[in-house]
Formats: sequence, structure tokens, C-alpha cells
Amino acid sequence: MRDKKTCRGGIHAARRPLTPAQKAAHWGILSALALALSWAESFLAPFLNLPMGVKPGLSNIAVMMACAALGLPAGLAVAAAKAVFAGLTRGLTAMLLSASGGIVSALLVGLLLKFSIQHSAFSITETGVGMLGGAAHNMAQLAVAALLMGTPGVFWAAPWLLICGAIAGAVTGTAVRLIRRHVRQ
Amino acid sequence: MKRGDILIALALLALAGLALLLRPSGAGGVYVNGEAVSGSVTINEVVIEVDGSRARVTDSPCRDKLCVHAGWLDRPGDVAVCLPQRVIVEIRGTARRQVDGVAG
Repeated sequence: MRDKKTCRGGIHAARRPLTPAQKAAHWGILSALALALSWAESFLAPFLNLPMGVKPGLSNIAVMMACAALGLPAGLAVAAAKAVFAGLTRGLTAMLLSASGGIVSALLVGLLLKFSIQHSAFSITETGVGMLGGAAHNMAQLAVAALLMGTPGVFWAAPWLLICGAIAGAVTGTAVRLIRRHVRQ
Repeated sequence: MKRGDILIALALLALAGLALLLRPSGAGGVYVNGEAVSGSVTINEVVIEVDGSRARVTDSPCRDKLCVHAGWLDRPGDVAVCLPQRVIVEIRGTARRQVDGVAG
């Protein structure tokens, strides 16, 4: 999955664990990046104007990067920061949707990245992980929407949201793959 | 892209296709929040125009107006949701769609 130069177990194996201050700094930087990407994307959305409020979800680059470079807890923390931001700027419904999609996809992506590194025989890259993450993100949101509405009618939108989630996730995942190739972690 | 990535893409595509097959078919009826309606209604300040077996949301006080942008709903399985106002407009079918119906 990764070549020798960027592999954590390779040339740069002598990697000390982060001090609490470094950890806080890394988590904070990625959370800030996620919020900035969310904000930047809000200018893009009116031009795309996709049905059911589908968005590219660029801020998930920060979530996935946190999962990849710092581990699952960091990914969940960035997803939580995103949800709080959505709650403050767009209200309770937006926060519930952001939290459900963000936490479910961060869990899946975090576990898959760990798994795919340990078992590199089954070759999936960040692109594939991102597709699964994006699809899971939208299905979790759909489940919460069904709970909020008290009717399963929203599930008729599932095919559209699955495909859009996979496409957006492929873009996000590929971005993370390119970043990891060029940035020493 | 590796082989695993392509398998994942195909699996998700198949899942979406399967979900599409489960959509209802037959003559449609307009349902708002799970109840059949035959004429235009306003629920939670969301204005719904009903025209026979099709419907659309013409106005809503919500921010994103996704329900309004959904436009006319005319086929069974079409749905417009306004989550902030807790309103869902859906066209329900009388029968489950048959696989033949999709192929033909």
C-alpha cells in the first residue's frame, strides 16, 4: 500500500511517541483545517446545487488525515469538532447529521486504514477506504434522518446518496493518498 | 487505484442498484408525513402543492430550501424532505417494482 520511503515501519522507524503538547497541537491543527474546509466549501455548494443537499465533504480530508497519521481517536476528535461547528453555525439538525455521518465514517476509515496496513495482501488504497467512508457517512445520515422524521420514506434516496458518497469519498481518499505520499508523517 | 478499490466501487454500485430495485412502482399517491393527501396542504409552515398524483414544495421557512429545490415529485419513490421543519413529502406506489419492470 505504501512504498518504503513513506512507510512508517521503514526508514523512519525511529519515531518517538508524541508528547501531550505535540498531540494537542496536531489534533488542533487538523480540527482547524476541517473547519476551514467546511467554511470554504459552503461557497462552493450553491454552484453545485446537487439534490438532497449533497456536498463534496472536503473537510473529511482532515478527518481521514487525522485517522491516517494520528490514529482513530484523533479522527473521531476532528469529526466531533466538525459536528460542534455545524451545530453552532447551522443548528441542531445539522449537528446531529454531521455527528452521525462524521463519527460513523471516521470509525470505519480509522479501522480500515489500520487493517489495510497490517494486511497489505488485500490491496486497497486510501481511495477505496474513502469510497466506503463516504458511503457509510451518507447511510448514517439517512438513518438519523429517518429517526428524526419517524418514517423510513427517506430511504428512497439511498441509491443517490450511496453513489454520491462513494464519489465524494474517492476524491477525499485520493487527496489523502497524495498528501501522505508527499508529507512525512 | 488497486484491485481492491475497484472491487469496492463495484460493490457499492451493486448495492445502489439493489436499493433502486426496491423502489415502489405502480400508480402513485402523495403522502405527507406518512399520511395520504389529495389536495394542497401547509404543514409546519411548509407549503405543499398537490396536483393529482404529483406534488412539490413551493415554500418553506428553512434555510437550505432543499425541499423546494427537489421540484416536482411524480414517480413512486420520489421524496422531498425538509429536516429542519420535520416534513417529508413522498410519492408511494401501489406495488413493489418487479425486476421485469426495470429490465423492460
